Amino acid sequence: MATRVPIIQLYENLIVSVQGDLDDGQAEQLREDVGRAISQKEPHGLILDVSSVDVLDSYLTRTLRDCAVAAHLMGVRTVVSGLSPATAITLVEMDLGIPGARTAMNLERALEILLDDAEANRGAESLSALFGDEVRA
Amino acid sequence: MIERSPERVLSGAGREVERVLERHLSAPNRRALLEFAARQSALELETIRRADVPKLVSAIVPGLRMFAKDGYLIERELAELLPTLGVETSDSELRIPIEVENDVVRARGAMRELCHEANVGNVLTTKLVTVVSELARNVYQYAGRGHVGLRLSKSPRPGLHIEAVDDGPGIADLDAILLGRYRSKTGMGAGLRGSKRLVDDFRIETGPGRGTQVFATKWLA
Repeated sequence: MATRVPIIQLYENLIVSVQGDLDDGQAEQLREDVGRAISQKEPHGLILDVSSVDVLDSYLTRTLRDCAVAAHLMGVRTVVSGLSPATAITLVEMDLGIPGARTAMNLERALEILLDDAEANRGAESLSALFGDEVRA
Repeated sequence: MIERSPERVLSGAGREVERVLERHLSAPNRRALLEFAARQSALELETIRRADVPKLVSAIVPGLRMFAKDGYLIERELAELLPTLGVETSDSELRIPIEVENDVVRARGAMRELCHEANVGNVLTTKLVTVVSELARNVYQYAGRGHVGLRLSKSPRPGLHIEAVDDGPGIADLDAILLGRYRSKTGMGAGLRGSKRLVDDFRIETGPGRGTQVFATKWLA
């Protein structure tokens, strides 16, 4: 039985510390667990932290993208944090990316991004409550 | 006017080297290359000894790229010639069988160590470990088993060589994959195309029922 990747809840966000040696079973499990955690906890955002990943190959990149796309479909923003410079350069040269996710230098910045989003959202909601929907457009 | 020197008689060891070149280069070209390399390495073609061959080969390699399109093939054959002459080339070579998924992680670790041994920097190490990860995973995922070979060559030209070999079903439409017209559900296309971009030489031999052999080389000088 594959070890599960822990999903931590902090404030209104879910944080996943991704490991570089995910096997097929763990990747599948991670996708399922992220989906389940989102539907149960209704978080504001999802952070996939890759700072302990030494190699981000196309397989792991795809796993991250799948999580981000699933989160997006459920209305949750994803931030990928902690890419090392070497990993970033490698991804660029391979022409790989993580569409569907924003990126942040580290976990702290990722949380800031999600907090800013949350506040902007709340602002828009309170405005639209006062003035109606046209304010949001 | 072209000055022609009389044909020089090669020593036994020199002849061995010429035999490799014969398969790829015309007589005037290979003679010119041999004589150029001999001058560069301060050797006499008539008296060259087996122990001198690595030195001669090192001088031949830069010239190969001018004389031949399939230079990398000749380099490989020259590299293969050295051990048959009983010359120590001190290559580091590792062979990692790929049978279970965790072997992909082992192959990555082996590449990392080899890069360390070769004094390769952090960014290039990450790139090469990524290539090994892609190729090893392909072996596991599509063929079930095979092996990954890693070699650090010092002569004729320093480089890191990766091979991934399996007897699996082979890749039916390789061109479509490499051109990006094909996207598998598991994403092999992106991995192979990406790997190709990360190295200097990248070759795939495959076909339905023929298994798959991938050769990737990153030159270090």
